[in-house]
Amino acid sequence: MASSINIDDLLAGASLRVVLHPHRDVQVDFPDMIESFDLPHITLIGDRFFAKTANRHALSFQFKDYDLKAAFSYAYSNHYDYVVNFSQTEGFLRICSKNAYEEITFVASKNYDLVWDSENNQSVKSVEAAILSGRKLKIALLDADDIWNIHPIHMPSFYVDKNFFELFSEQDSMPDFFRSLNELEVIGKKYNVLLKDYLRTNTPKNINTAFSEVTMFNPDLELCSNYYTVRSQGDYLHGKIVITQEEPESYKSLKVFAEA
Amino acid sequence: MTTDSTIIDALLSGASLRLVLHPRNDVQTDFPDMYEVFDLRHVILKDDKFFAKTASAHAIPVNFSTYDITTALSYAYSSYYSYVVNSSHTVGSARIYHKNVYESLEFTPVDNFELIWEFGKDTESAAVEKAITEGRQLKIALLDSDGYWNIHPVHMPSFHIGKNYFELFTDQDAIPGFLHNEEALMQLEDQMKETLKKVMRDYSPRNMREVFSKVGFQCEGTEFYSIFYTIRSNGNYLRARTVLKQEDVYHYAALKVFADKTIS
Repeated sequence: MASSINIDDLLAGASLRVVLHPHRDVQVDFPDMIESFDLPHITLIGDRFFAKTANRHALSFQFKDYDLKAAFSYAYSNHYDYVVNFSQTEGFLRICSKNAYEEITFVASKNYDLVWDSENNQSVKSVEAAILSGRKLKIALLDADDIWNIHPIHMPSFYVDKNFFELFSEQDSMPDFFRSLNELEVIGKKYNVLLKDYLRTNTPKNINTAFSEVTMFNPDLELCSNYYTVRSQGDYLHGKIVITQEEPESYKSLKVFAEA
Repeated sequence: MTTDSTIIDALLSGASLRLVLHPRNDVQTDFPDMYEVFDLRHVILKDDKFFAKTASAHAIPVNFSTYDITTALSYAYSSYYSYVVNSSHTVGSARIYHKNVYESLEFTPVDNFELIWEFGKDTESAAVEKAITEGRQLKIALLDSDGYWNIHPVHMPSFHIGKNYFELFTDQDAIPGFLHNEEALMQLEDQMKETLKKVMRDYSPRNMREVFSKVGFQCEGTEFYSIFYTIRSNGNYLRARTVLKQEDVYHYAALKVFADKTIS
């Protein structure tokens, strides 16, 4: 069972964490345990989100030998019944059931303040002050498809005496289908059919087997960059390098948050 | 003024390290006069000297080549050494350049984490368990047998229910191996000084951009040192190993666990 979260909190700067209690019958390699993740990358459409960890999870789900270059991430939703585990470096994507967890609790940690809003602010002084005091920043950017993109800023910058800031988000990526309600729905339906068929033909005496067998691999390996260059003047680059690949898009709204 | 010793004391009390940079206008000529800031979440500290680096989350290579979704770089700064390390373990490169490309570098400790557990002092893991169930972010400072403090963010904290036992998995990331080797760091310092001296002699310093572009060099064949740790409350840890499959534990000399401060 997943807990609910107030979307308004996310758009007011709260950080999203998830506290997980894996099913003992599923995660049989470990004792009964609790674990948690920070979910700094959020794709929000209406009241539905998929939120993911940074690509910094070192362990593959099969516990293969350690590889310095392998990096994974996990994504959780407040609406869809599946979890997405993927790796850009390994070229794989896995869909598994949320029911692998006994409990999924989303926690909104109100640790960031809104310091700039494109709809209200003309002066960038508050962002400049946050940068000079070393505060971490993050953004919520509403794009032309009415999707809110919430991401941590890796390198904020401002031009001296120009009333202009430019924020560079972290290099990261996510499945392209996070941006399509239709595709998210189709994947959910496919997964439920697989699960239903499996449970009909197999006596579910062993839940571990059921959930490990019913996993979809690589339904869509198209990855979308989470790297944005965001400017105070109303435009941004997405998956492009400043100076050499200028082809800006315009955002509908931009909120900048600084850690409290 | 923030001194090195106050920075180090703050780091070992849980402060996060940020660096506010003012690039020289006559070196970084592609942009207007500007300020930028980095979160230096990975700190390697020995005695009073540290190198601290960003996550490997910097998308832009130094030559502004075409965007590549798989390219990820990081920057490492020291208050002691005169050079900056721009590296990528995915690309396998480590570039050294002089700190003087910046007009100012200001290390800024931010008091946003608090100590919740210390090996040898805390026998109960309840405070860590509570922080995990509240969704607080954790980080660790681990003193290894070589006398290095390794400060890293925790990607996935966990605890075993009713066992008084926690296991913390840090971010997957890596540093050039020489950041864990004082002798190699000093050799690079000497190499940087010699290169700077030669370039200043060969070029009239009328063009600072040209001078500093000539002073940088690549560290060929850099070996990368994983900073992925699996850390346990019972005194041992794994580094660059996968739990269950590659158990070959080390013992830490000290361990501090910090949690982000809750906002009331």
